[in-house]
Amino acid sequence: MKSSLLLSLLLAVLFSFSSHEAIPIAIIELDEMNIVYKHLENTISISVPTVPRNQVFVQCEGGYLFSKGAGQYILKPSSGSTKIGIKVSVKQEGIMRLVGSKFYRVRQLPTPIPQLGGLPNNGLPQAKAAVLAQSTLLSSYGPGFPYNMQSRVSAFEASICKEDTMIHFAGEGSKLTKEIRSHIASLESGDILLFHHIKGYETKTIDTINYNLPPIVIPIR
Amino acid sequence: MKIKIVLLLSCIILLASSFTPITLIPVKPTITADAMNIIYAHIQNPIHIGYNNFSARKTEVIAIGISLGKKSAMGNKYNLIADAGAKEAKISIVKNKKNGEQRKISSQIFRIRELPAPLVQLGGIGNDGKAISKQLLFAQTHLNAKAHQSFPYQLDFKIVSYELEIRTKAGKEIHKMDNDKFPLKLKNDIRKMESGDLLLFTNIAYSVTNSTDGFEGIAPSFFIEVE
Repeated sequence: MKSSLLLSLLLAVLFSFSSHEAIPIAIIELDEMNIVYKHLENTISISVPTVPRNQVFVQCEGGYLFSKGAGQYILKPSSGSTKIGIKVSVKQEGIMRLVGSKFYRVRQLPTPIPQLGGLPNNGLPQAKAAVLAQSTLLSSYGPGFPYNMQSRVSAFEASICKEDTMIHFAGEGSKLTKEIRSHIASLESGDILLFHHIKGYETKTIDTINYNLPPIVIPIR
Repeated sequence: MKIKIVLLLSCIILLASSFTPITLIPVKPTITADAMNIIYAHIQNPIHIGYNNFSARKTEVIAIGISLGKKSAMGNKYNLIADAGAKEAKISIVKNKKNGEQRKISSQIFRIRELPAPLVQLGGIGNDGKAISKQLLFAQTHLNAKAHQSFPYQLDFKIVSYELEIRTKAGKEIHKMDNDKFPLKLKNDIRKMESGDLLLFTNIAYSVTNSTDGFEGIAPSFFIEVE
């Protein structure tokens, strides 16, 4: 009888330790969005549900991981790496156990696309008044780029193609000079305004990146 | 008698335990690149849902701003397609309770963005503003369109049409092409070109052949100066 009682108590104790309501968590991940960009501070969040942060250990291969606290990290690819592997381990009862890993593809930043002020760079004919209203060359990575970046145009050349002549100008920074603007004012339908040899740079990267940007072709309507 | 009570107690404990989920599955970490929560319009965006400590069968996936094309038999992989005009999508995982109620387990918001325009160039000639020899121009057969290598997905572009303006000191000639070809008849005109003359490629219409809706757009124009 005593042994039966002991057995019952043992069972009760055993189940009280091993049975508890697990916290249900679902992780939703876009399979192809495992990209880390060079020259950027890529922000990464790492957490292990139900495990305190001080028992979570993270290893990184192919890059550098800097903790910002609260499970937030900055990930920078190391020079020449094309892949980054992140391994997450937890320490339980003195034993380190690998609980998960993930790899990222390392990619260059895209080349920004320049445009004249608010006119999209699509080569479609523009009204002279719309062209005259613009004063600066802008560049951007387009709305599809995940990070909020800020690229600038640092230098450019402009050409005006008329029916029988071609006039060349050098720009100053990203601004259209008075000389260029005065020639734009004389454009006629069928003339073409070109911006080329456009140089740009990025302001939000961790190191300086200079770009050679593609040209802008604006036919006058 | 006492033995019976003890046995009964044991049975009750065992029964109670069988109703309680036992945590034997190891916890999975979440590793997320915070800014990469983007769903691109016009293409299929594959996702997978990792279920920590419970079964996918007991859950329902609710999507707003996107349609879920179910992909896997396990119920944890989907191909998302953004709704036309939507700017944001939300995916929620809910657990169906026995009483018919639903309990939200996780939800995530995604930004919906347009596809980037392709980089178009004549054959293998880069658009870097350098003057190009006529011999090199003759060697090209078609326009190439590709996404920048930084873009996460494979996009298959096709040039649908373009306009080529040949600007020489003698005047200009405009050719309208309804494919990506750079044909021989254009090359005959190029033969007459002189140093400083221009080839202007404008109104370049393209389609994304692996898009879900036959997406078409206009790519940035470019020009080539003859050496």
